[in-house]
Amino acid sequence: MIMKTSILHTNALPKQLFSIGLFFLAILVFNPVQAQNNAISVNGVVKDANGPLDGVSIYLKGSKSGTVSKANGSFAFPEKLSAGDVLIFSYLGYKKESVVIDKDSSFIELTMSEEAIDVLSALNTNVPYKSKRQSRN
Amino acid sequence: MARFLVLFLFYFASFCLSAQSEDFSSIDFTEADKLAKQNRGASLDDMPELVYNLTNSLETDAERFRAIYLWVCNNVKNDYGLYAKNKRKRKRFKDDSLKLEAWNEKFKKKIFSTLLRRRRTICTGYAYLVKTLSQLANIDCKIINGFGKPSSGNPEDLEEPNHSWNAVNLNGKWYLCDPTWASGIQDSESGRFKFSYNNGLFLVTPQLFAISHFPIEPKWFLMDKTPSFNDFVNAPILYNDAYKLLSNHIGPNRLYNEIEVNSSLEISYTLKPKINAEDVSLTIVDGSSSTTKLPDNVEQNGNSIDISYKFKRKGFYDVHLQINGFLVATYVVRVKKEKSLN
Repeated sequence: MIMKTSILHTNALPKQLFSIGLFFLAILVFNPVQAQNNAISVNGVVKDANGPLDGVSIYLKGSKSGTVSKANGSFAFPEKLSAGDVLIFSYLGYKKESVVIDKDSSFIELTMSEEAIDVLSALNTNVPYKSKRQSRN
Repeated sequence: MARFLVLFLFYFASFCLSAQSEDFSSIDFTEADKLAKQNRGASLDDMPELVYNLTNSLETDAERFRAIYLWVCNNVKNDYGLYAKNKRKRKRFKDDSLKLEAWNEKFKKKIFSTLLRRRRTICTGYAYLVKTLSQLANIDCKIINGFGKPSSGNPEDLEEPNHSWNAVNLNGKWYLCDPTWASGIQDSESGRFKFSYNNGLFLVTPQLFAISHFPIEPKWFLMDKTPSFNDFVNAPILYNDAYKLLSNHIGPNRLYNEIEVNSSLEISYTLKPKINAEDVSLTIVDGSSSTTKLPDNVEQNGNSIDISYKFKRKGFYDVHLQINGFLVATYVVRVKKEKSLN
């Protein structure tokens, strides 16, 4: 019985490893590749509760192409997009937003919301610590 | 084939085990560091482009995060004026939550415009920028707010959260780093900031980090057994250079220690690099006099080091421990008269 299980294990191990290897290979090979059809020109306007936002970074997820919103919040994306593409809107101090492009999204009006953060600060120095007792001296 | 796969799996599994920066000792950060250097002075106007330039040619999240983190540490200045102003206002409004919130809202805007235009900021700005840039590279990174314990001032005076740092998830595991303190040192008198990158604050051992960082949410200690606030306030003073030299601080676990005449202060650390025993020295401040002494005994065993120093006279001493001239930690020792034997 003991013999049998040990044989089973030695046979099963390379097979398992092989299938795990195949799995990783599959991930590498079938990486999502986006098809470039149905070209959509996208423009729009970005604002917050108080009005237009100047300088919002707008870029296509997974690529380098992007643009920045103007002082009146407007933008025109420099490349034609296809349905299913994702545009990311990112602005310091605001929550990052993503918009999935479909055939009707040629004009995007986006209101971004501020991120709740506490502004904190502690400095570090190389000044040696002085205990209260020594400070009095 | 099977052997190759075993190696491959081992490579993946090795990320999930053991401790912090050592997790990545097999990863060469040279390329990431080179990219951070090549992009020195880049503007923050187009963050996606900056992130792309910093990370595009790198293979792993650890390297991508490294390039972003190093860029922030080497390109964003700590603004002493902003720091002092914020500290003053937060103190003034600490009992008035509405005014504090209004101040925070107003100041937040100023922080971000100063960060974008002049690449100057304070802690939250560093932590926020590391988070934002990491997210643009699809790396899960958070801002952790809490208490930082600097060497100036008294730990007992810590009343409200004063510091922000980052936690980053790399290969399914969380790590801690402090870009503000890694960036450089502030001269608190002249208010001048000097870039001086400290690599010791990148992916720090949680136990060591906890001596000077107390997160508001305990889960961000990343430790099973978390210290109490009292433990934190009473812990020894650790200097920035300690993070370069130590991977853990074992003892003593209190700043204030009491011993009897002719007994020793015992200090234990786990070291990062090996050091020479003769490079350890103690500066002992007693009232107005300050003397530098060698310890009575330094014992090294693998990475651990035990240092002891015997006090022959009663008194009240501030003991600053240095290794290689770098200030590591301060302990305060009250030396009492020997108790009689009967």
